[in-house]
Amino acid sequence: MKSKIALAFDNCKREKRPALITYTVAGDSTKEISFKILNKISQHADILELGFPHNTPIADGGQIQGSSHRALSKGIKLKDVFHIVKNFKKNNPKKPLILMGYYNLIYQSGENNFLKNCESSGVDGLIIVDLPYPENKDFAFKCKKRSINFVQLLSPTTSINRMKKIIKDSHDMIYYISMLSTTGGKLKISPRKILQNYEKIKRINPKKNLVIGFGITDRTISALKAADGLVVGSMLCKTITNSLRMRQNPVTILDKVVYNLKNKIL
Amino acid sequence: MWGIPGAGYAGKMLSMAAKKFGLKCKIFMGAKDIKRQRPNVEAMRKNNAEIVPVNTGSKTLVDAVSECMRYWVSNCDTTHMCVGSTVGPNIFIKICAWSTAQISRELIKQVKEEFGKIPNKLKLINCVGGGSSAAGFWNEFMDTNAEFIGVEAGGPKNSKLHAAPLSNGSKIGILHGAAQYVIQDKEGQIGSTESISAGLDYPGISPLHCFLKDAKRARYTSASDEQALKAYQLVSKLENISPSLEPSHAFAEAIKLAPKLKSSEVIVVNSCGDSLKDKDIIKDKLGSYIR
Repeated sequence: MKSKIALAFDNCKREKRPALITYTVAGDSTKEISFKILNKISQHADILELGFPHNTPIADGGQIQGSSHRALSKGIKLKDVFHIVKNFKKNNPKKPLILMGYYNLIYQSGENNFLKNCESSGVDGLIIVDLPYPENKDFAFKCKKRSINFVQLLSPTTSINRMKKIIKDSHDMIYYISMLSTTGGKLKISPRKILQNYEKIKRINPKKNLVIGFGITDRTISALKAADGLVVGSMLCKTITNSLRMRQNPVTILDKVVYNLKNKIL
Repeated sequence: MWGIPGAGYAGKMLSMAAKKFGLKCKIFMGAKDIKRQRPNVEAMRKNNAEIVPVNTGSKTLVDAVSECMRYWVSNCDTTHMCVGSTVGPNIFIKICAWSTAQISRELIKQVKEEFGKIPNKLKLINCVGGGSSAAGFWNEFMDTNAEFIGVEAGGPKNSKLHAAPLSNGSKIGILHGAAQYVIQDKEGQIGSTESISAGLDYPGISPLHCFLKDAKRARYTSASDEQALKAYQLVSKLENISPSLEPSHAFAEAIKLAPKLKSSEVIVVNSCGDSLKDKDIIKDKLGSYIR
């Protein structure tokens, strides 16, 4: 049986457009608001990434650090994250949802226990930023046994040989980090160059769904629409920060922003 | 271009090396540490190093390491990351421990000169924060009978906060690219630390020391802020040295142990830093700083 993530990519390919993948942090700025945001933006996004916040996020720039901090200061726990996912999946059983975060939280809760919770709440995939290949092989295998996609990461510094190995062991989605940066950095190389690298990776196995993330905003997204999927994260976190500062409702503002992003890649 | 997270000493040395070789040098430091380690900061600036203040989290070493790693992943095509302690991903631990091992290469020679051989009962006492100086101090003695005692920062006497994961039963977790005993809550969020000593104020500890603890090759204990300050006062008064607050933790343990030992037993304490960098803290705590 095909995974919901694979089906989402199939659907986008039929419509000849990239998948729009959003990233927001669970519990930002409250559990309720982050749940409402998920519900709202899922009307436009094809795949949803939901961050489970960690207080030492070494791969994240200022925007996502800010979102994580807001969520943690309101006391978000892993069980709340799963609760949000479960409720979301009740209304949107077909929409793929990927949890993204750092390995220590999984390690402390126990890999099997964590995956059991993923399974029972309806998580479709995992991105674990600080669990690189090949150290992630055992965990990725455990994910696969439970039909959860483990998303491998590739970056501009990954050698071709290493890419081949990672791609061989990958599941339905691979994440290409567009440039040398933390999340939310300004795009410092041209979209053309990013797509050139992207094509190199695609040639290794054209059947694998390859998405591009890091530094993608409403200004750069349309130039990259040749990809299988595009991830927007920091821009959404920044939008939440700004709407809170302006005392606006982040749910409606984010809905508009994601709607606009979608229109730019149609 | 070089980058380094540091509470002071390693940063100072790196800035000297960068100056010598004509390289640009950025030093990442927690804003709190910039304030409390002012003399070192001034020395780094004199060597043309750029000090990058880190204002996230607790504004100490743990945040400086995170921020330095973020800078490095964003600039690894033009920059080398140097880590001033035996923490972080595997290779950085090896580079650091190999470098600091020079201390014990010299010490083992001196001990043999002094005693004709390595004494049967020899205790090597060192403070541990990240654990770099202890790793270096013990390295050449690994296959001898020497007893290794690591002293962590116990924090203020009446505070629940400390920077002593090994002597407080912290669980193994993942921090800065390595598995290690680390101060954390049940969920795996990294915990806050508190210590009078900027160089020991870190929630994790080198995986090297975690291994030495598990293998029972070294034992670990802690000294409080107050005990360290007392040891600083006593050692500065009696000896011709003035240890910084990091090794003062090790001296506190030596002072505690010494009365119970026979005269044939030998203690060596690594005085791995000079008090000058801590003059502001010492002035604040004791009213004056005399050198």
